Amino acid sequence: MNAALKNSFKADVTDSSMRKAFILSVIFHVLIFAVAAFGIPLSKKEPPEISQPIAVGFVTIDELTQTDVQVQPTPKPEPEKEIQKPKAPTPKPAEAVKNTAQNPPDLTKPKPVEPPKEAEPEKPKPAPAPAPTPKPKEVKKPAPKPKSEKPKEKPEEAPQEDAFSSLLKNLAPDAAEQTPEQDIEDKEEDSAPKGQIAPLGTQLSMSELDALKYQISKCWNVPSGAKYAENLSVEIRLSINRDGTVNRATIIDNGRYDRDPAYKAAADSALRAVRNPACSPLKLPADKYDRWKNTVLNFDPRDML
Amino acid sequence: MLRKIILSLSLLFVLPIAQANAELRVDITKGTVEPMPIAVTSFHALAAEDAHYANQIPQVIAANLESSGLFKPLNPSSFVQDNASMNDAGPRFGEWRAIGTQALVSGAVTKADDGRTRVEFRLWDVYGQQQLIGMAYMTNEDNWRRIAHIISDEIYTRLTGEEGYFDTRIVYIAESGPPTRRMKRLAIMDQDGYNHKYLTDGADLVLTPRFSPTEQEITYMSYGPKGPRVYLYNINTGRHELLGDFPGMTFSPRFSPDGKKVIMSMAKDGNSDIYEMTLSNRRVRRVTDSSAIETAPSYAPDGKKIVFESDRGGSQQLYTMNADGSNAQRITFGDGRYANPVWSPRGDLIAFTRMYKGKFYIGVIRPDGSGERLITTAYHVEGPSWSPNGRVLTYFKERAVGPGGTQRQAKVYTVDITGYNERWLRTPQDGSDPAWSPLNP
Repeated sequence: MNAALKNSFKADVTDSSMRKAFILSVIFHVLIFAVAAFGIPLSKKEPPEISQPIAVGFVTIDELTQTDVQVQPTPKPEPEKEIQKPKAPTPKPAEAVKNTAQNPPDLTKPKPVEPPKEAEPEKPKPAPAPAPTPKPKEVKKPAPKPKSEKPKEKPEEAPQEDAFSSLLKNLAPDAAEQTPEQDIEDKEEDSAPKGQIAPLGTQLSMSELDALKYQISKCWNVPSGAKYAENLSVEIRLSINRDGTVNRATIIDNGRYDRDPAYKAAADSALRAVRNPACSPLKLPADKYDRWKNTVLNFDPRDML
Repeated sequence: MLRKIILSLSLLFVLPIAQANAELRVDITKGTVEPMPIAVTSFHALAAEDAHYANQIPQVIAANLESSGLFKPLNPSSFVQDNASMNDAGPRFGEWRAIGTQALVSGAVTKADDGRTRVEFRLWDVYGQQQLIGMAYMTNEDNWRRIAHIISDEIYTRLTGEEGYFDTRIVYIAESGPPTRRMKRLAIMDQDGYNHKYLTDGADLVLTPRFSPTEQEITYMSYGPKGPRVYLYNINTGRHELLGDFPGMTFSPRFSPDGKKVIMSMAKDGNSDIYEMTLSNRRVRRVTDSSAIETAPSYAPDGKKIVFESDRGGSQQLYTMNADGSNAQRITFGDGRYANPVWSPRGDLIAFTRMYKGKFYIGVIRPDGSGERLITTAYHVEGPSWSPNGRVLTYFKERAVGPGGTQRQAKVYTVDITGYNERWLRTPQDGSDPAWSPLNP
């Protein structure tokens, strides 16, 4: 049976029509291979792009987003302003007395008057040698009035306004000026909430964070001009009461506080910010208390230098 | 298997809760730069005879703090507690907070048994409701201004974290007379302009005085019989002395940070190079040796590097080099000319004068050549000198006055290194070439 089949094949191959079919078949196969290798000319189009993964961060935005960008040019007369400055000049004595009546704790627990002796321990220079200073014969010398009088030629620049965006003045004729756009970009960048990992519902929205940042920025007096001020960022850990008042504020890097006077001053400035009456209570959404009751504020002057 | 599923399911629920309880982190990258409100109350005096100083000392302290630009002393009429009650019972912080002050200074003046005066002060943190520092000093009454400056320094240091600079003096050139016969005398005063006195009589022209960082000594250039030469002057003894016997003119002297050497330039045959003299044995060392002009050397506070000006690159620019003269590196590349570099005692900046398009600027730059900032400008402004804490610069500005602008008016100024708070430092006559002393000994 097998032999018979073989024979019939042989017979087929030798047949001339079968040879044609064989050649056709070879051509056909070559074509298929060619198409597979180079593709059909017609379909030669750009391969579909492989889309890059896009990182998506969820940021909750309230209807009213209070960004720094909006706030800076003309701070609207917001209520904050009033609270922020219990204006220095002449609070009526009556008012002050009233205040004390309202805050008896301050009266009852003033840091106990340490006996003056305690003030002395570091008696520094026992008695400054009378040497270099010539005796001030008369206190009312007609001599030069000291600098308490402002020079008439006050520098034209209005420091405070400029200073808000740049703590360091530069008159350089050839310095590249920072474009406003750049400025805005920076600001937008840093108003993005950091370290938000909680589920959406309990996160602070961007505007809630911005309100907090704005409030604290008004209370924080930046230590400008310090040596290597860019390295003077200070972390303060807050434990906050439900009403937004600060229960406890502690400096995280206590070791550095003790050994680095510049850091100590910077840390104190941060502490003063959170203790500033204009920052009490902190403006935080009551319904998200669990999210902010423990907060770390990182006071970083780098962007202002 | 089932257990695994339950475990992972429970993890799904537990994790977000843990995260919700995590600390909220907020970066505060903006703040205000307003001067800190501070209340400096008049000190408590037990005896009537001390009342005068008890009033004056706080006034000097307030003026000092205000002049720094970093503090805003509040008007005493707003104060809510008198010094007697504060001395007895401590500050009523709530009331002080209500007038908007953040820091509070109180003190007392008493007579000790030996007749000397005892001045004590306390610095209070009003928000933190605690004492930050408290110290007492024994002194003669005549020294009350110094005591006020020393207390100012203590307060400044505690609140800014930097050394103070109020208990210092400034030496400068007092100028008078018409431009053709200008009299230039060496003069000295307290940092706030008080206790002014002349050190030379004006017979010789004096220029570029520099204070020793360690001694009550000044080095300066004067036109003596041999032409312009560098001199040394001892403030305590009043003795002047020629420094070295150089074949050419010597100029632009400065002390090394340890006060033991003077580095200066000597010009001969149209070329100038940098030399250094050890004061104890008067040995001279040549630091640079090139055909270009090298001058205006100033040491880094660690004594390892020197900044100087040179035209070796074609235009007058600033360079740094090792103390032995090796490894010179150019640090300025701007247009115009750079001159008079002076290294900050703090080490982080170099101040200089820059001339560009017909104007003068005072600027600062980091020692590696980055971060150049020009902080003041004028028709002619020159000669920056650092306060000992590296926080404030003093320099002088000159402008043309009088009919046809033929007269010159020179005034001494100070400015904070931020570039803000520029102030005129009042002098009895015109003033130029100011140089700041170290803290008084």
